[in-house]
Amino acid sequence: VGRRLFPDRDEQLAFRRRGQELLEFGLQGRGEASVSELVGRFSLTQPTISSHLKVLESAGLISRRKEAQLRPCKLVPERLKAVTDWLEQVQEIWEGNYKRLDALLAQLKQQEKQERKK
Amino acid sequence: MKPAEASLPSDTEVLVKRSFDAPVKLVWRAYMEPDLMRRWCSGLPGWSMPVCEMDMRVGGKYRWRWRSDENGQEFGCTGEVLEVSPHTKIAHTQIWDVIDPSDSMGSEPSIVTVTFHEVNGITNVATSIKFASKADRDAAFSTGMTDGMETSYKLLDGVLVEM
Repeated sequence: VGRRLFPDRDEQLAFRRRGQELLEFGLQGRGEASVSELVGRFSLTQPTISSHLKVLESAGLISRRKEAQLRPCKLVPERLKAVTDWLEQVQEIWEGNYKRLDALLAQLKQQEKQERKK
Repeated sequence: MKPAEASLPSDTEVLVKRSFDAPVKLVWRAYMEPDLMRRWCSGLPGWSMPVCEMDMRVGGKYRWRWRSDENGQEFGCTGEVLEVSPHTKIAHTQIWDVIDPSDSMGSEPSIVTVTFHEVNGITNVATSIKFASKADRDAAFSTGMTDGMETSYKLLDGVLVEM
């Protein structure tokens, strides 16, 4: 959807970021929210909020009640967790390397200091 | 220093950022000298980097291999250096060979770009891995070292790509 809405790459990325913000600040840790509540909470128009919710719903990140007219939505926490867990795993692998690099750099700094003293 | 931050700026990219408490000339050495690099770039706990050969000139080749201490399993990657701007940027191609031949890591090489930026003795390093296609990126993160990520990753695909 993002791609079809915005052929320009920067606009796509901005759309993606706003969608993440909507999840993080609008829905995480809360119960149900209606579109108008979200419009009030974010400085975005109703059609914009609605298009984000459509994407999030099709990705399974939120569920919406069909019976009520306002179609209130709420986060599907397990789904979001699966996504954030994945990024955390990527970070962990890199961070393991980087911690060793920290130690190596500290050593190199020390060596340089000693050489300067000589 | 704050832990590494990984993000997905587009559906074919992975970006990892980290800062180091050292001047760029030392960080640069850790990336350019094989004997230094293999000391830190060993990947997961219980793995080492027995092969770290690199000719860090434009057009030069490199070969990195990792081995599990526990069962001797190996995997690695090779590539060609595309750009070297001292203390600023390294870019190279990257092709992986994997433990399980049925794992597809994608036929096209990915492009890895590492940029360095020093501010007041702190060096910020950004690593961008740009895959030839989304399918390649997906494959790269569901094999070898990244066991168990596949399920999460497939979910993520559906999400971030559409957003």
